[in-house]
Amino acid sequence: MKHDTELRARIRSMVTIAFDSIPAVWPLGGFVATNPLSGFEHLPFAEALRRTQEQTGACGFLPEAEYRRRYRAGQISAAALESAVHRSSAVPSGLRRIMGQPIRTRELVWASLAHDLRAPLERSRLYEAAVARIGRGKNTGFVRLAATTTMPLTFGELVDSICDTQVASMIDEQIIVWCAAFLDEGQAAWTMPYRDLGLYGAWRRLALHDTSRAAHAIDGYRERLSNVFLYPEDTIAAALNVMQIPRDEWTSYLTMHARKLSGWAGIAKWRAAHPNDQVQRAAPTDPIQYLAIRLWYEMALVGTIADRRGLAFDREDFIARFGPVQQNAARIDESCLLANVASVLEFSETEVLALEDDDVRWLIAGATALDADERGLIWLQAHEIHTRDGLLKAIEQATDSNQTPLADVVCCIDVRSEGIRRHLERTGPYRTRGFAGFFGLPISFRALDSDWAQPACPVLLTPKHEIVEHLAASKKRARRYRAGRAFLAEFERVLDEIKSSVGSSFVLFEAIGALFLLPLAGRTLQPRFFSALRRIVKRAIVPDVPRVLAFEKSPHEADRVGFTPAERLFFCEAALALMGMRDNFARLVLFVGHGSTTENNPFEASLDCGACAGYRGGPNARALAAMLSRDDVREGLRPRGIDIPSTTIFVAAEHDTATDRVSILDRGLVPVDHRADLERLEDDLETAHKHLASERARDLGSTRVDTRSADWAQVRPEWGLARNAAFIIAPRSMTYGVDLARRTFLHEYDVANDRDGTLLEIIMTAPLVVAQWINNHYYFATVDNERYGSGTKVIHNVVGRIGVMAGNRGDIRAGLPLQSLADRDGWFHEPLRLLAIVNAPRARIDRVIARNAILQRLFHNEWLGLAAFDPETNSFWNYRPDATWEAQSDITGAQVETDRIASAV
Amino acid sequence: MTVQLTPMKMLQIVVPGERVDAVKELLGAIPVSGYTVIPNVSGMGHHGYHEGHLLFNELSSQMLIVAVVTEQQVDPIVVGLEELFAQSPGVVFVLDCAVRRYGYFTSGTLNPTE
Repeated sequence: MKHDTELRARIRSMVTIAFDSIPAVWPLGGFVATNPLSGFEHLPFAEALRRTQEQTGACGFLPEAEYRRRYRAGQISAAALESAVHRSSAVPSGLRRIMGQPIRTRELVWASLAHDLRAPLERSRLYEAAVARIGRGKNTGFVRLAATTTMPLTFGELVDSICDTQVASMIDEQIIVWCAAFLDEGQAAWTMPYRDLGLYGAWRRLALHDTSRAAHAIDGYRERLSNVFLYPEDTIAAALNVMQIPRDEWTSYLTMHARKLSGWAGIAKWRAAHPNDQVQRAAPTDPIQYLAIRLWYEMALVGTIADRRGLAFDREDFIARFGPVQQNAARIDESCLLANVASVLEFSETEVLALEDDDVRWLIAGATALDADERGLIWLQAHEIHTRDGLLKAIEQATDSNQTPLADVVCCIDVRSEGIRRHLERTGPYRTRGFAGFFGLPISFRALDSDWAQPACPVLLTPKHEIVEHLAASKKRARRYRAGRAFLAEFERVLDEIKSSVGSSFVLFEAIGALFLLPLAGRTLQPRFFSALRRIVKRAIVPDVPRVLAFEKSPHEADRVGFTPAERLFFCEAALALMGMRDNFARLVLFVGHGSTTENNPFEASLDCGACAGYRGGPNARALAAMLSRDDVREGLRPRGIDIPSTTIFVAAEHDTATDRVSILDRGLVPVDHRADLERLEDDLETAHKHLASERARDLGSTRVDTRSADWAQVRPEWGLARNAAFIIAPRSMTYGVDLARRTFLHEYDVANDRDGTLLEIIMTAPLVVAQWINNHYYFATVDNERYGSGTKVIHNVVGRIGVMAGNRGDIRAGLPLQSLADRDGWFHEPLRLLAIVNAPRARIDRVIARNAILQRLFHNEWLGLAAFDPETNSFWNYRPDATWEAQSDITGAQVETDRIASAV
Repeated sequence: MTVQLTPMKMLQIVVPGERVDAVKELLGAIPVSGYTVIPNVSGMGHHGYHEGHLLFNELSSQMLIVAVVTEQQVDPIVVGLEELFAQSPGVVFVLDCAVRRYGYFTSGTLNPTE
């Protein structure tokens, strides 16, 4: 008995570790961008890519042809590529004099990157000379241009590859069917019974009635099923034992299974981590239950096949007898390679014919010295060097504004805020700042009449305070509002019921089906007009009502609701300190959250605020503005050195990133004597909106951005955070007046207000970490969209309101769709690792990194780049993975030095 | 009058925030009737000094989980944690303690699958 409990505990921990490399998949409503390789962040970036490639076949870089295209288009400069080759530790050193010309291995590597050495040269005279020198069609023995991989196989896959069976696909089919039915969040008209028993418990009850092909393929199906253990851990242990997986390989074997349908597995992981989630409480599941079902099917199916064919039930035995499946390395024509090298080195045909054997071998070895991963990494670094140089040069052109600001405007750090800030600053004398869009409040938000509080802070935090929205209307208006709401809810419920019921659905469409043509035509032909009309009709039924936020702890409500006076002061002080606002307040301070309005878009949440758990940021801006408007908060802040003048007011707003309109929230709370200031600001925001909308329309094609937002057939309503490249932690004066092309996260930071580095530590351990997730989410979805993204949106289907599948059966696709990253002209997103640029002395940054393991992991393993603008030297410095700094000017300077020495040789 | 005390074991588990859920699930499955989580603790360990400064990142800060369990429950918990700590940082201390209300600490719930 005690032994069983110990084994179960052990299995639990093994499953936990097996799921480390599976990113949790958030429900559709609260999409959160994560690094799909977060489970590998303890490894250097290149090593993590190599390992995932070996284990799953995933690509870690763009195809080389794409990098080369960018190189030719000037998006990667020759200097950047040379610098990257020079800095790469994979490039062997070597120098040889051939035909009187000193040639370095580094040059051959550079040539092999800048030129496609496999390009056919059949008709050229150089090729004929190379053929005469080497022989036609001879394949080089040095080729490592494509990596050789040996992907580990599950027992089921191994059996499939040997016996031509379909074990793996049958397991996947079963998982998809059971998970889709069990995990449903309200899409199904008839829900699965026994969901309260958990995924494993419900499956145990219901699988007896299964008539799928897997059930037919298993001998003694019902008998086997009736003996399934009560505890899922026991089933996992039994399957691993029966399949004779060695004990020290259990965790890695479970990892292989977890990765097979990583979308469904990711949902199980998210659910387990959210035990208080409404759906999880009603239908609990976790990775253990998920894997138990997978392994049971594998054990039963493989057992059946082994029995029928008289094979031993032993994976090691199978591997020993049949061997793992190998992918072949690509081979290239040696003569073609030599001809191309000769062309780059400007050798004549005569010189090619006169080459010594050793020279030929040396040239070919040099040109093929690196494997695909090493070459990919050099290209990536070249791309990054080019972008970093351009960005730092642009920043050097910044000019500070010395006008007295009409208002302080605080926006989210999101890259899209850079556009509206830049255009607003060009329109009038405004001081804008960047701050994480949850405005420093670890809250959840319960909207008016909602029975559910949505999380409204980064997923690094658990919401600790619930903010509740209340009606603040006259009795008569409140009555009208409630009646309208009740009518609309009932109408939608009845319509839904009639549409989904077996009998009435036919009658409904026979009787009034034609009426549905009107909205169909409206949405399709005149999306903007129809969207406006729908808003008007909805407002006629449910009138707009003033609302207020309650954030005071009340003795009648649960502990989580609201803040105590001390908590209010703490969070207000922290937020103002992080925004760099301690004095010198303008008359008007605007807090701008953001969200995106789109139609028929299951990925809508991916366009909302990442700092607000994938929801809109308006509630957070409202809550902070409301708290800072209170006299008791202002009085409490005064002794802490924050003196807010009585003439300063705080107002909340929301930036719609699909239309670029900024709407003022809680307008009724604005005092009369500040209305004129607000009107002036709104006029300027409108002007900024027009300029930004036309700038974005150019990126998106010719359509107006607000038409895209309202169009239900639009697959690319906005570009979201595509092309994100850097995270700047600095005062706005460092970037004021520079067009950063909506590619940079901007966080306000003034080193003068941060004596001990606490504020910098908060920024680097939270907003920067979230931005890194977003950056890697975009990076990996671009380099391998099939695996880390979700493919084309055109064939997506929403399943169970949980996520999307491609077609009608498959894995949950959690990554970004192709349309968020590319258009018909190619990739819009540039997959680069995020570069943090910090305006602070290097010693201070060193101290912050030294006391935070997460920062050491990210910087030293090169998941994030780091550059510092050191006010003490007034110059940029580049952080190296060995925790030392090099002057930015040295990145290209060192190469020139080596070139000089080589020339002398 | 002397107070009647029952000897029990106290577990003190220190793990990074990202592992807290795994530990909670492990304790829940044993089942342990309750535990206390103390967030953002500071201290020195194999991975250097943790200052407990992080305001907006619970996943990377260190957490202390305290649970009182029966003698029989110690081994399965420690075995499970051992498996976890083989791959990621964390420590567990097992201390002798005594409680006044024995039943209060032994009324856990069963695994939710059946």
